Amino acid sequence: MWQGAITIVAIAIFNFCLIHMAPGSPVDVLAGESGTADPAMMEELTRRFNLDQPFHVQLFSYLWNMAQLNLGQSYRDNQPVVTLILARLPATLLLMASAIGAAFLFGLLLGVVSARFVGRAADEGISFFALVSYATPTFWSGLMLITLFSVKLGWLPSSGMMTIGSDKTGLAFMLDVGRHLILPTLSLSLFYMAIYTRLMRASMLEVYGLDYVRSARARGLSEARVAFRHVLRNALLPMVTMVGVQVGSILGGSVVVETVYGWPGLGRLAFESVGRRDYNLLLAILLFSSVMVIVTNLVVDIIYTLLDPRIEHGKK
Amino acid sequence: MAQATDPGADGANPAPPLLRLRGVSVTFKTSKGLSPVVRGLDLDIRAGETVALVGESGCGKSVTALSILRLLPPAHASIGGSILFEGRDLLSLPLKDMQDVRGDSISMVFQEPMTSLNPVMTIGEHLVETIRQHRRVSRAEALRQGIELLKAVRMPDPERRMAEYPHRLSGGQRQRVMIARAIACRPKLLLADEPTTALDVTVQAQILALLRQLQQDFGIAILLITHDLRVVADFADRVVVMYAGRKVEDTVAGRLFGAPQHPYTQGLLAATPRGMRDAAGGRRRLREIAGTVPDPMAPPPGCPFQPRCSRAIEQCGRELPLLGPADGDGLVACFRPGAAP
Ligand SMILES: Nc1ncnc2c1ncn2[C@@H]1O[C@H](COP(=O)(O)OP(=O)(O)OP(=O)(O)O)[C@@H](O)[C@H]1O
Ligand code: SF4
Ligand SMILES: [Mg+2]
Repeated sequence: MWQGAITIVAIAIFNFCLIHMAPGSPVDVLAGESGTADPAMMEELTRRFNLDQPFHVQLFSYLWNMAQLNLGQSYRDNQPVVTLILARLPATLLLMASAIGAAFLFGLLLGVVSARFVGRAADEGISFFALVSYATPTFWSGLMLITLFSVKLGWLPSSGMMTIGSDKTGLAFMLDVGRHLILPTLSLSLFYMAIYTRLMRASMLEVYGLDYVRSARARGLSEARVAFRHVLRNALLPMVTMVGVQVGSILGGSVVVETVYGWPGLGRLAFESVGRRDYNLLLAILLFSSVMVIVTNLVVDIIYTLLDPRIEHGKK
Repeated sequence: MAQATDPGADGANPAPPLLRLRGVSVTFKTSKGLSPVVRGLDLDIRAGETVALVGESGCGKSVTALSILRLLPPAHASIGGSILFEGRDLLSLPLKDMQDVRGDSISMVFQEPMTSLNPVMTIGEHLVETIRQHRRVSRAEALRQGIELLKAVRMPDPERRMAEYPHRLSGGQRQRVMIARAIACRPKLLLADEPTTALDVTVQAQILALLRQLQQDFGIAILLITHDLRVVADFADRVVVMYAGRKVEDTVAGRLFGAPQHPYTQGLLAATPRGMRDAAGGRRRLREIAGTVPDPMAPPPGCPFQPRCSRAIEQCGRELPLLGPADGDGLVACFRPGAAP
């Protein structure tokens, strides 16, 4: 728990420094957009945003506010950044959960099939598919999926999270969101699914060669039982670790996917806030993201202890 | 120990042996070509008997045991000959029937107690799984039997152990679990592949005493694969010596120590210090005999032991000595068998 808190503070400081090194200030952008570079107004804005203070004072007041759970106002919309973020959070969580779930599930299935038929046509086919998925950039696969399924076939919506102007409720609403979710999930998860497929295949093959699998066969267990009871559960352990490691990078990938699909999530909000030099908002999004990654890692750790009795509770 | 039982002709006991291997050969497909690691092996084990299988590392002992249960990877190993168990040829059984034999009437204990238990399953789950694979009993009944098995292998605190995971157990305790698991269905034959090699000396002695006790209690026949000639002297009724995939001597245990016939057997015994029983401590594996084991893919012409044999004559480099009756009891494959000169 303490480790998590320290990590978050360190990340916050790092982000703050990084953003202040970027050229351009929010005031420049605001002024540029309004078309008037009135020096008096720019000075006024600069003072209001505290941007005239020395760097260390700004950093300190930022951390002080953060400690009081006050992440500040958006320079842009004059709304608390937390309000803006919370409005976008569910969409991102939904996309992440669905992408991680899909990548894990299909990676696991394909990996198991691959290992079961190692060296045969099914294995070769899956390996090829995994290689292609691995090598395809997310934005490109996104555009291709839209071209195929939305533009050419017209099966699935190409953008947004729900049909605009419809007032569906209940099941109809969920189905509508689900339909919008398919393509973004596909493009975000393909790359990770490829990784999990390869990892699961290797992991299964390794466990298949272990002594306890041979001794399970020596006791007359059927191949299916050997695969599910003895191989699968042990082969899952590296997969779970990998998911924990990759939540952060999946979250990063969601920026691209949300932008391509107009998905109203945090990733797109971050993208927009960079363009507007909306530092407060951007910092808060980064902070939220790191909290999300840390929380997910905690959850993964807990799952891991449940799966692997060798890790004793309380000892670390 | 049983009285001298000639492995070839046994007039007194005409009943067929429990296990009968005839002309068994195992060939591995390797990247460099076919590698014949077991060649034309004949082996009989009678009900309740203990047969020791000894020989240097790589001579094919484990492969022989694994081929009896057909546990070698079918894609890489082909088994020839016949393996009759209670009159049925195991090699031609459908896989389903073979699985019914494994762990029920024939079971196996492996050398590596540290890695032969699934780390994410409790001891109880291991035992229950094995019992319920072969017996139609309820979970509760299987659990009860599991506790009995742990008691039979002298596991301290058996009730509590059932819920524990393998990593909490010592090597000796794990080997007890493996033995408990192997005898769970009262097998007629136990294949024990170096069951004590990985353990401390004191634990070795305990495990061997346990095996002998179980054998007496349940009348299990044991094929004991070992490096340790002390174990052979104490434990086995008969000894089969293998060299480079072939049986070179097959005789009553007492006689092997008194009057070994094959020069290789003599070499093995010479490599083990005298007074094997009383020597304190120290795990004693067979020390190497001068020279190296032949490569299965390029065996020397004639007798495979010839390059290392001090007694070799010209004939040994040309012809393969066949297994024949030795002076007195047993079988030996050598042109010049008998006591060392
Ligand atoms: N899967 C395999 N593929 C190819 N060769 C193999 C395979 N398994 C075993 N061998 C070879 O078969 C031969 C016999 O091996 P085996 O394991 O039976 O020896 P062993 O007598 O049990 O020796 P040890 O005392 O070291 O256990 C060795 O030369 C080994 O290299
Ligand atoms: S046959 Fe010849 S070479 Fe082979 S063991 Fe006997 S004496 Fe030695
Ligand atoms: Mg071996």
